[in-house]
Formats: sequence, C-alpha cells, structure tokens
Amino acid sequence: DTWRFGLEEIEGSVQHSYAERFKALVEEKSEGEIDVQLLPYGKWGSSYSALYDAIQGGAIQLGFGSGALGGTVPESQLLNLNYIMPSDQWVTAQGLNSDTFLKSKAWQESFRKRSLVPLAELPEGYQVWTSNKAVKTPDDIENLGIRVMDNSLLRATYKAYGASPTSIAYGELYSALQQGQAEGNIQPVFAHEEMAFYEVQDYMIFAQQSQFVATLIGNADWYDGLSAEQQKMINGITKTLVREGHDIQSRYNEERLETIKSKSDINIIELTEAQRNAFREKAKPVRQVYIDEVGARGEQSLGALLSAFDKAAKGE
Amino acid sequence: MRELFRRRVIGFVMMIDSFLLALSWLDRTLGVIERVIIAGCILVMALLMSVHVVGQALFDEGIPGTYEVVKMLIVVLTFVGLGYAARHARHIRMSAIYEQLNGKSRKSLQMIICLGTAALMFYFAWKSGQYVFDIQERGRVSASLQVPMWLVYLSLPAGFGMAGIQYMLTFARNAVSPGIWRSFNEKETYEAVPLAAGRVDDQDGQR
Amino acid sequence: MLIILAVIMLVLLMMGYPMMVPLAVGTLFMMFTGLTFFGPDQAVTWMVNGVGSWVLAAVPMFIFAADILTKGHTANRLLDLVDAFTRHLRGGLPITTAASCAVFGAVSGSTQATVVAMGGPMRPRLLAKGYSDSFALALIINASDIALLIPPSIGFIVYGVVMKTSIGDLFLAGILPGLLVLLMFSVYCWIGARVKGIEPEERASWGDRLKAMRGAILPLGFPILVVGGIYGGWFSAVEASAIAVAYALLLEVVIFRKVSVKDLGGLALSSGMITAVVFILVAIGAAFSHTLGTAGIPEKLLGPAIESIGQNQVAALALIAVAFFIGCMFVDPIVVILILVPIFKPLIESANLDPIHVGVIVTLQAAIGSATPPFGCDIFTAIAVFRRPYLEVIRGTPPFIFMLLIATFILILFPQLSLWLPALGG
Ligand code: NA
Ligand code: NA
Repeated sequence: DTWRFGLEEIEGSVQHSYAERFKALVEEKSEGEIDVQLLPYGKWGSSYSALYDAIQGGAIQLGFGSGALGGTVPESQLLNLNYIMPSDQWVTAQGLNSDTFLKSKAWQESFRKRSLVPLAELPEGYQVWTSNKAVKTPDDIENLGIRVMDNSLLRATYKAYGASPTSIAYGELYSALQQGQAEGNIQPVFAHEEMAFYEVQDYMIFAQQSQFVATLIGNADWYDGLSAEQQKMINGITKTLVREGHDIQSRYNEERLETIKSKSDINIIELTEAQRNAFREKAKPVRQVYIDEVGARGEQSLGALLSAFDKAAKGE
Repeated sequence: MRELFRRRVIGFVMMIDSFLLALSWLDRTLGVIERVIIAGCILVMALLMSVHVVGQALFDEGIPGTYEVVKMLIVVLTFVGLGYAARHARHIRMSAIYEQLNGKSRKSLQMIICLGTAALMFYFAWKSGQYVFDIQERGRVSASLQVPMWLVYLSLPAGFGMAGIQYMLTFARNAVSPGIWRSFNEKETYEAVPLAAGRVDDQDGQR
Repeated sequence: MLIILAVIMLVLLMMGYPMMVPLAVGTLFMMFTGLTFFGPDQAVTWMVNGVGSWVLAAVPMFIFAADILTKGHTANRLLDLVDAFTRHLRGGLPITTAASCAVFGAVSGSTQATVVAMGGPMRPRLLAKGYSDSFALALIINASDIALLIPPSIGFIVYGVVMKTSIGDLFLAGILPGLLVLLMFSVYCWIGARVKGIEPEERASWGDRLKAMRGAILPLGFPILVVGGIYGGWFSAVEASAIAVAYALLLEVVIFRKVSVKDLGGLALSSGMITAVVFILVAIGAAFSHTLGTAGIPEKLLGPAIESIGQNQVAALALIAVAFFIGCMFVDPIVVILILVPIFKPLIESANLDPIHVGVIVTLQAAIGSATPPFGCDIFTAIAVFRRPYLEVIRGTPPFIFMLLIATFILILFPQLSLWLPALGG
C-alpha cells in the first residue's frame, strides 16, 4: 500500500523533517508493507485548498493543515487564538497532543464533519512580530499597520491590541514591508528567514502570544478503512513524534534565528511576563469572537484545550 | 386530404418555429445575464480595490475581505466568461491550417471542432457540478467573510454548461444553414478595415 | 506514452481546436492512463485555484484601464507627445510606436493590454504612412512584449512569488534589458524605413511640441501616480492596477468627458471578455501543469540536461532560456513560470546563479515566446483584437524574434545589465 503525505511546506522544512521521520517509522513498523510517499508544496499544486481538497477527496491520504485550514475546518482557527498556549513550548506540544484535547469529541467531530480526522498537532515555533519600531506595550502597537492573513479572527485579535491590521498577499509582502505599505509582520522565525523579511524590518519581538501549529490530518474514510492494528501503529508513531517534532522545530528555529542575527543587525526584544500580561488581557475577549464565529463545537474544543494545557503543566 | 396534410406540415413547422423563437429568446436572455455578470465583476472589482487602497492609504483602514472577494470575482468572471466567449467564438485557437481550407472541408472541420469541444465542455460541467456538490457538503467557507464557497464555484458548471450549449448550437447552425458559422449568430468574416480601437463588439453578435 | 500525449495535443492544436481543448485533453489523458494518481476531480480543484489568485487581479484591471484610456483622449495625447519629438526622424513613426508600447507597457504591466491599447490608435497611423500591415502588427506585438520587462510586470510578480525572491529587485532589474530591446527595435525601424524609402516628416516646431506637452500633462500623471504610488509605499503593484482604473476614470469621465458613464458597461464587458479568454487558459493550464508535475514529466525531460550541466553558469542560463522559450511558445507565460521555475530551482541554486538575473532572462523568454509563431498568446490577442488572419499576423515577426534572441545572448553574457540597477537600489 502507498500512503501519500502532502506537505504545506517545501523540502527541508519543519513539516518535511517531521514527515520524513513519520515515513521512516511507518515503513519500519509495517515491515515494508506500507510505503509513504512525501509530496512537498508544489507537488500537489500551489494553493493550500488544493491540498485540503485532495485529502478530503482521498487522492492524498494524509497531510498537514495550518493557518489556511480555517475555511475548510472553521474550528481549527482555535490554534490562531492568542495567549491560550503556555509559554513553555514543550508543555504546549504535550497539551496539544494529549488525548484530553486531540481525542476530545469536539475536536474530532470538527474534522470528521469535513471528511477528515486529526491525527496529531505539530507546533512549529512562536509566531514572532517584526516591526520598524520597538513594541513592548499595547501603546507601542497602537495603529501599527501590521500585516495579517486575510482572516477575520486574526484581524479581530490585532484590532483588540489596538493595531491596524492590513491584508497583503504573501508574494507581495516583502516589497510591501520594504516600501512601507505594511509596518509590521507576523511569522514563525523560519519564515522570517526564508522570505528574508528581516532585511526590511528593524525589530523582532517575541511576545509568546501563540505558536504556529500544523495539524496532521487524514482522510476519514481512509483512516476508518485501516485495520485496528494500523490505527494503533499510527497512534504510537505520532506519540513518539511529539518529542521529536518539538526537537525538530526548536533546532530549526534556533538555526534560522542565528542566520538572521548573523546577516542583519535586527534588534531582538523578548517581552517580560508583565509586558506579556498587558497583551494577554487585551487578547482575552477575542476568545468570544472565535466562539461566536464557529459555535458550540469551537467552545468545547477551546475548553478541552485549556484543560489539556492545565494537565500538561502539572505534568499529568 | 392533401390540403389537410399541407396544413399539418405548416402547423408543425410553425410549432418548430415558435419553439426556435422561444429558444433564441432564452438564449438571448442568458446572453444578457452573462454580460451583466461579466461587466459587473470588472466594475465591482475596480470599485472595491480602489476604495480599499484609498481607505488603507488615507485612513489606515481598508475593506476587510477585499482579497477574498476579488479572488471570487475572478473565478466567476473566468467561468461565466468562458460561456460568453464561446457565444462569440472568441476562444483563442491556432487557425493556420484551418485557414488554408475552403468550402466543404472547412465547414466539416468546423463542425468536428464544435462537436468535440462541446463534449469536453459538458464533461467538465458534470465534473465541476460534482465538485460544487462536494464543497457544499463539506461546508467550505471563505476565511474572512465566511462566504460558502460552493456559491462561487457554481459558476463552473454554469460556464462549462453554457459553453457546451454554445458549441452545440454552432454545430447545429453549420449543419442546417449554408455558409460557415463561427458561432450560432456569427458568420465567418475578418475585419477588412482596421478597427478604430481594438474593442470587442458588445452587441451579442448582431452586428 | 509521452509521445502519444504530445501527438494528441499537437493534432488537436493544429486542427484548430480552441487552445483550452488540447490542454484539457492532455490533462485527462495523463489522468486516465495512470501517469498521475490524481483524477479529474483534482483537475477541477486546480482550475478553481489556478485563477482564484489575488495577483491575477492586475490583468483585468490594467486591461480595463487601457480600454478606458483608448476610448478617451489619454492614449492619443501620449502618442501625440512622442510624435511631436520624433516625427522628423527616419522611421520616426514606428519608433514612436515601439516607444509608446514600452511606455504604456510600463504602466499597464500586461502585454495583451498594451496590444489592445496602443495597437488600436497606432496601426491606422502606420498603415497611412505606407508601412505594411504585417510589419505594423509584428511591431505592435513585439514592442508590447517589452511591457513584460518594464515594471510593473505580471511576469516578474509571478516569478518572484514562485522563486521567493524580491519583486522590487526584479522590477529594477528589468529596466535596462527592456531599454536595450527597445533600442534594437528602433534601429530596425530606422533601417526598415530607409530600405522602404519612407521619408521622415517635417520637424515639429517648439510651439507644437509645447502644445503636445500641455495636452499630455494630465495623462502623464498616470505613469507618475502608478509607479510613484508603488515605490512610495502607498499601494502594491496589484493594487496599483485598480488605482490605474480610478485615475483613468477621473481623466476620461470627469475631466475630459470623452467617456460617458454609459460607455463604462460596454468597456467593462469587453475587458472582462478578453480577461476570461486568457484566464480560462490560465485555469486549464494550471490543471495541465500540475498534472504534468505530479506525473514527473518535466523532470524526466529536463533531468538529464540539468544533471549534465552541473555548475556551468552559461550553459545553465542557456538551458533555462531554451526551456522557457519553448514553453512560452505553447502556453501562457504565467503558467510556464509556475511549472518550470520549481524544476529549475535546484539548478539555479547549484550553479550559484543570481535568481534576479534568471528572473530577467525568464521574463525575456516569456516576452519572446508570447510573440513567437506558431503558438504565441500575443499573436492570438492580436488576432482576437484586430480580427486579421493568422498568417498575416505572423508574417512580419521573424526579424523581431531574431533581435530578441540576440538580446538574450547579450543578457546571458553580461549579467550586470540586469543586476546593476538592483545593486544601486538595494
Ligand atoms: Na510593465
Ligand atoms: Na509563442
């Protein structure tokens, strides 16, 4: 059997490294019976919804869905909410992959309703702000023309901070930052490096407001058609990969941050706990925006996630 | 007896005639709808994008969802335009060899092309219809305005279907009428004098 | 199997099927013969996503702006201005045509829009002065393609997105090569006028020139607003297309009152139809290219050549130029860039080529390819717009293709030509 695995990122990315490990483990544990074929960005098309379509339709059996998944699974926007994840990235990874959250009825149903099934969560590191001015307090972000994806929840979030969120296509972003059409930007560290956004920005601000999280999704019919043994195998492998995934993203983002530091004199700001609290307060009401937008399943998913983080923090 | 037969034939012909009249009325109505949609897409796109830009530049506040709406408009424009361009035989083709032919052979080639293209268009109308159904069932919405995407994607089966019908009509026209027809309403000609400006005539082929 | 695929597509093309048919049939052929694991459902997805793109919005907007300006005064006033300064030169009118196409292209960013906007008023003027129609058409088609090299350019935007390189630098890099091509065309026009014995006109008086300049003041605000707005950080290149429409409306509807509000519906319809005719090819072309990609065909065809080249920069650039030239002969340049750039990306990195320089060469090939018989998309635009027979439209093109190939050689051998301006700017 061949399992096709679609990635939102190109070769040599966090998702690709994770998928390579997944492939190795599946092929080893199934003793060569299953062959995993990796399809990086571009191999299945160039627009994310083409990948989600292919997984929903079953042409591709499994793959990653992250920021753009909101149109396909509205509840998945939960992972875009700010200040719901613990500061500790390892605790976050554990909470996201705990049965309390991942196997919760609400989260599973959200995907099942769209012919998908969530298999694992891969945090890919903090979403980091960049700007041409130092941002330490909500006053500093006031009216900052920060670029967000064309997504109502993200817009609401940055409006709540007092910024003026603006939408710019990814391909136009570099020149928009360079010409000053956008004054700030939000990306995981590796993306800031890959697209060289740091060249045209003066400050990088680590506010720990959220991580960039990709959900490993499978086609529901495909998953249900697997033998109990195979399902158990996948479950085992994804559990093993929680730690490895965390290590992969930490290593990638550290390396990329070093590259940024060595190639530019960008100023790096780490917000203190007190500074973060100011933003955290402003972000809280946005949870209600999320619930209003996606409904009861979203509210239950949020509840499951918060209690999963509680448990993970206590080391349960 | 003969007289009765003659009357029946005339009656039958008149029935077909009024049927054809109704068809051509329907066809023209669809043409008008297509024109309104196509021109509307362009005008709304221009208005929305410029207001968004001006708002963004002057007041730091664009129109939320502009990107999304523009992308949707392009999809609608493309596929409704597919049908409309078939109506006016404006689809781009490599006609070098076709132009070397004359008379009967040219006409038969034109009919083969129409038939083949129509078949392909109907196939895609069916396939994209299924896609619309799937997307409706999966509940895909746009990320910013939560517009159900199947509404936008309806333009695919509509456009492919209309294009298929237009190619079928062109085939039928060539089969029954003398001369070579590039579309249901347009006989083949090339402009002998330069147009003042390279504009597409917008009179639904009734020049 | 690949040969059967190529033969089917070629036969359908030669028979005169609409261009979308060979592309769609090729796609379905690969799907039904199992060359790819994707089925026709995915083809529909790819079509929708192929055109559901923000960047593409610039095409209908610039065409619409061009349609408004052509219907109104602006196009003619800009032409009068150039004419006042060049009519006494030998070959002045065709050189004016070439320069106008380049200038208009600089604003419109779209070759097809330029063919429509500049070809309309210029072709009758050329015919009146005794130039042949095939020369006039070839000149308009090829000079319009300079538009791809002068910012803002859709070709550069799409390349920048796919290659993940700075679109701003690409814009700067295209300017000098664009001017080089314009210079070559001008020399050809000059020689052509001499050979045909077409005498120059009387030099325009400074009074006439001043008048032409006065008439062109507001139209000149057009390039200044659009280009200045992009570089001033007011709006992006795509958004500039909508601003172009807004300014065109301000000039022609409010100030000159040459275009009535009633005309706008008809203009929007014609812009929309030209856009749709091209975009349906972008849509089906996207399905075709992704199918080709998942079937691994470009790698199979190009892999051996790419491997044998290794680190040789000139050979790598030559291969890239040839591949894009051939690709653009068959398919819309935007689609070609989407298919081929990812395939060449490893070669560009391993041969240590500057992606900006490659981008200029690729875009130049897109320009050449879209004007090259038998399948150039600008040839089709000219056929669509002027309604002239195919053979007449292509008869005059060979000398232009030859000059463009020379320009490619120069560009491959002298990367500074493209890299100098971005280095200054950055
Ligand atoms: Na241009
Ligand atoms: Na060509």
